[in-house]
Amino acid sequence: MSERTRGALATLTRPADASYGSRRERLLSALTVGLLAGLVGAAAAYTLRRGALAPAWADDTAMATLVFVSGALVKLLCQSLRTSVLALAVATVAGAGLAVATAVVPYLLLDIATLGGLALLPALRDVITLLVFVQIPLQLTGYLVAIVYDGATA
Amino acid sequence: MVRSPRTQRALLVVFAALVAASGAAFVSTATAQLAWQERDAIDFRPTGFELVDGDEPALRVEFAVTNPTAVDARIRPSALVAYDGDPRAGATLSVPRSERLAGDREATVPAGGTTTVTLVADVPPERADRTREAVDADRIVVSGSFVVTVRGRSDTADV
Repeated sequence: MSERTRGALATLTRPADASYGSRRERLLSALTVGLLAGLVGAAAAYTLRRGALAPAWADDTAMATLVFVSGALVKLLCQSLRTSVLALAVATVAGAGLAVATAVVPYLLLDIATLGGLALLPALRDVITLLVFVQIPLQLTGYLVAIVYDGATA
Repeated sequence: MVRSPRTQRALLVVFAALVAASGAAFVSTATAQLAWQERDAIDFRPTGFELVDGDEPALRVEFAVTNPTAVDARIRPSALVAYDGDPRAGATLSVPRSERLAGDREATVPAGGTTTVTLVADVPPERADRTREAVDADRIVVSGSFVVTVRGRSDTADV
């Protein structure tokens, strides 16, 4: 038990080492980094989508920077290319899922009728637009920049 | 070469800061979205009336504004007119579009708090006597709307 706990903790605190480690270590680090990067992407995209209600410091530039840096950190944390690709895939899928959730969940929480899903269409349109033009490309660009950085400093 | 443990730790700290910053932005925005959905709960209650005599008489109306939501709201009068009795009877006392807040253009109602704002509206000199009677007999009804602004979004709230 203590052996496994220490193993998981060491994997999480040394993601670059883990990205070259055993299959279990690679999966654990890719899933953790990917899920957290997806969370950052979805939260920033939500703040961008509801820009009029965002606090003053959370402007478009700040949120775009968050998404970009989260993409770069996927590669910087999961250093091995193979593991980082998996982590970025997890970030993209989890980020898309969470971004859709931010549009749907308010209707469920506030018990607002969606008219059979019809009322969700404008929100989902905005979510998909932000996913295709902001969230995924910015995260991917950050990731590619980090690959170039790692390649240049190798 | 694998990054040194120190670099890995520094990168983790940056990543944690990133998660914290995006989380804070999300929570703040989501709270404002909830407050926006609940903006109808912001309550305007007239608590006192006073006629200021002079060459240009004015009616001062004190409003107690309660904001039960979790985000500060800003308010300004948009179309408020004082009537003698039921507004539908049409006995207008104040000059339409002359209403403004005493002091600032806008007032801020803190989250979960109550604030008192004073509305000032001009009264035509020929209606000053009737206005004074209405104030004394507690017959004044103020009807119209305030503009309620939560962060960057505005809507009107009927009074």
